[in-house]
Amino acid sequence: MRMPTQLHQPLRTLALSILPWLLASEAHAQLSGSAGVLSNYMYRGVSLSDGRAAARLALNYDGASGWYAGGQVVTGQLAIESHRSAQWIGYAGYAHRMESGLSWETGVTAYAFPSNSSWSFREFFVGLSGETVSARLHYAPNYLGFGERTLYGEVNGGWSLAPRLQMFWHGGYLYSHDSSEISRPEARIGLATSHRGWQAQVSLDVARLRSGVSTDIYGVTTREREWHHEVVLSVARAF
Amino acid sequence: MKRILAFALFLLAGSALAQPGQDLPQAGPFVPPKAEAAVPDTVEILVMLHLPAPHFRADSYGSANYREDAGRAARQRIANAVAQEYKLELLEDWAMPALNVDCYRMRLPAGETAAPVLDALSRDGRVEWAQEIQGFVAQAGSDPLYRVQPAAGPWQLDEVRKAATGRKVTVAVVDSGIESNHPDLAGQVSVEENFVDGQNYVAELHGTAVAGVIAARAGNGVGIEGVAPDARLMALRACWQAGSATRCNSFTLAKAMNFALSNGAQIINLSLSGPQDRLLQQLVEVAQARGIRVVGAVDPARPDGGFPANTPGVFAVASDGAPPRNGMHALLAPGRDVPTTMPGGRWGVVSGTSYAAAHVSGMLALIGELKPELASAKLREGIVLNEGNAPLTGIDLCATIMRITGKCSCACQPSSTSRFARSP
Repeated sequence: MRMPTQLHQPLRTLALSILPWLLASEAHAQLSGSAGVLSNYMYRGVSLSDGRAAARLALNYDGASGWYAGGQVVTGQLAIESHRSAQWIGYAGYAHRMESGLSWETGVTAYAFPSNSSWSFREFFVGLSGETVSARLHYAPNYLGFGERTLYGEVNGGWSLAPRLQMFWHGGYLYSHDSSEISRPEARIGLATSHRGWQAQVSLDVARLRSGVSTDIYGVTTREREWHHEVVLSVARAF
Repeated sequence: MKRILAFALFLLAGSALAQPGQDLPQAGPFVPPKAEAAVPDTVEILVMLHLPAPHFRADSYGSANYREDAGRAARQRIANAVAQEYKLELLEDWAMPALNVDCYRMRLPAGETAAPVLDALSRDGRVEWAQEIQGFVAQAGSDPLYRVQPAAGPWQLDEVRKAATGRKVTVAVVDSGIESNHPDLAGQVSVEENFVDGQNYVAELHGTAVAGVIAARAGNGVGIEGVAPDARLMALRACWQAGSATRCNSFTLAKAMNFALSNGAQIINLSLSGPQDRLLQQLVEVAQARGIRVVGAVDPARPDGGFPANTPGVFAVASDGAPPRNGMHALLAPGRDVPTTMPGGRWGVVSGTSYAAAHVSGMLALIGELKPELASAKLREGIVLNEGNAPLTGIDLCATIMRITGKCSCACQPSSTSRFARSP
C-alpha cells in the first residue's frame, strides 16, 4: 500500500512525538505533558493560528541518562489556509547538567504542516541553561520550505514574584542567510501562575514585521517594518 | 581599657552567658520543628527522584523554576505512586538541581522503622536513592569570660585589615536565624531565607553569634568587629532554636546548601556536626567542585570530628586548646570566651567550635578578597600555623595572608615556630 506523500513528513514528526511512549518503560523515565488552549498561537513573533484561538497538546519524555524527546500538536491555521489544520512539532535531544551548575543541550526539531507539507522543515539546536536564564541557537537549512538557511537565537528567563506567580521573558532574533525578508526580532514578557496542575499565562508578544513596500521620490523602493504586538492568554492542564 | 570593655561585655552578656547548649549542633533523634517537646513516634525519610537538566520543550520557554517547571507533574506522579506503594505520607518536595534530584520528604506510618522501607526503595528503579532524615541538636558549652575578642591581638586584625576586609565576598551562614538589624550586623546581611518548614524567619542566638564573629561591622563605635567586616552574609536559616538547644536536620540543611550553591556563595559556614549524611555529603562535594570553601566545626564528642568536618577538603576547625586527633588535620581557631552579637541588639560571650569555625570563615573571606581563584587545596597548604607562642589562635593569620597573597601590608610578627599546614 502506498502512503500519500503528504503524510510522510507528519508521520516522521509523529514518530518523534510518540517516542516517549515507547521508551516510558525505563525505570527512571518521566513522562509529562500539557493540554490547553491559547488565545493566539504565536511562533517567533507571527501567528500560526491566523490570530485565532488554538488548542494544544504536548508530551515530553525524559530519560535518566539525559536523553529527551517530545512533541506537540496545535490546531493552527496558516495565513494561506481557509480552515484549521493540525501543526506538529517533534523533537529529540540530549541535555546534561555540568559540575558548574550550567546545563547544555543539543537536539533536532521537526515541524510538520500536513495540509501544506511544503512548509515542513527541520532544525538543529544547541543550548545553554543557567539557574534563571537559558539561551538556544537553532539552525534550519530550509526554513518553512522557503529554501532559506536561517539561524534563530533566543534567550529566555524568569523569576518568582510570589509563591505561585512567576514573571518570564523571552527575546529572539531570526536571521536568514539568504534573504532579509524574514529576518526579524521578537520578544515576549509575561506572567504565569499555576495551581494544582493548572497553568495560566498572560503575555505581551512583540515582533518587528514587514508591513509593506514604499517608494521614495527618487524611486528607491524599501520594505517597511513595524512593531506588532499581541496579548496572548493561555490556560493548560499539566499532567 | 580592654579589661573595662571586657567587664562591660560581661554585664551586657547577661543571661546569654549562662545559657548552655548554644554551640555545636550534633546528631540526635530528629524532632520536627513544630513538636519540640515530644519525641516523635514517626520517622521521616527523603526520597530522591531524578531531576532532568533543563531543555527545550515545545510547550514552554523553559523557565528554570524547578518548583513549577513543566516536568514536575511527572515527578509528582512518581512520588505519589511511591508513597502509596510503600504506605508513606508525601509531605513536600524540594528540587536540588546541583545534585540532579528532586527531593521528596515522606513520613512513615507511626511506629515503623525506616530501614526496611529504605532497603526496598534502594531496589526501586524509580528512585535515585533514599535516606532517613537525620537530626542535629545543639550541645552545652560555656566558660567564664577572660578575654575580649581573642583573635584581635594574635591574629593582628588591625594590620590584616589594611590588606583585606572581605570586600565582595559572600559567606553563607547555614545556621539558625541571624538578627540582621542588630546594630553590629546592620547592612551585613545581603539575603535572608528560611528553610525550616512551618516557621517564619526569626532571629536566634546561635546564628546571630556566628554571624557576628564572621562579619560584625568595624568602626561603628559599638560592640565587636568581625574578622571580615566587609564580607556579606547570606542568612540561611536551616536550624531552629528549641529552648536551650539549636536543631537542624538533613532536609533543612540540604535546602539551605542548595540555595547557597545556586546563589553565589563563596564560603559556606557549617558550624554544626552530625552523622554521615549522603545528601549533605553530595552537596558539600558539589560545593567543593565549584570552588566554594566549606568550613565545618569539629565535634569534640565524635572520634572523627563528625560530619562535615570529617569530609576531605572541608576546612575542619577545632577550638583552640583542643587536643590533637589522630588522622585529622583540623585547624585551631579561637573558640573560647568569644564576645559576639546576640539577638535583641545585645552582645554576649560564647564558647565552642562553632565560633572557631566562624573565625576561619572570616579568615577565608579575607583571603577570598585577595585571591578569589585560589584552589582550596593550595589555600589549605598555605595556611601558616602557630605552635607554642600563640596557643590560643592556632593560625598565624598575618603570615598566612602574606604567604598566600603576597599583598599583605601588615607588619607581621610571625611566631618562630610557625609551620605550614598539611593538606587534609
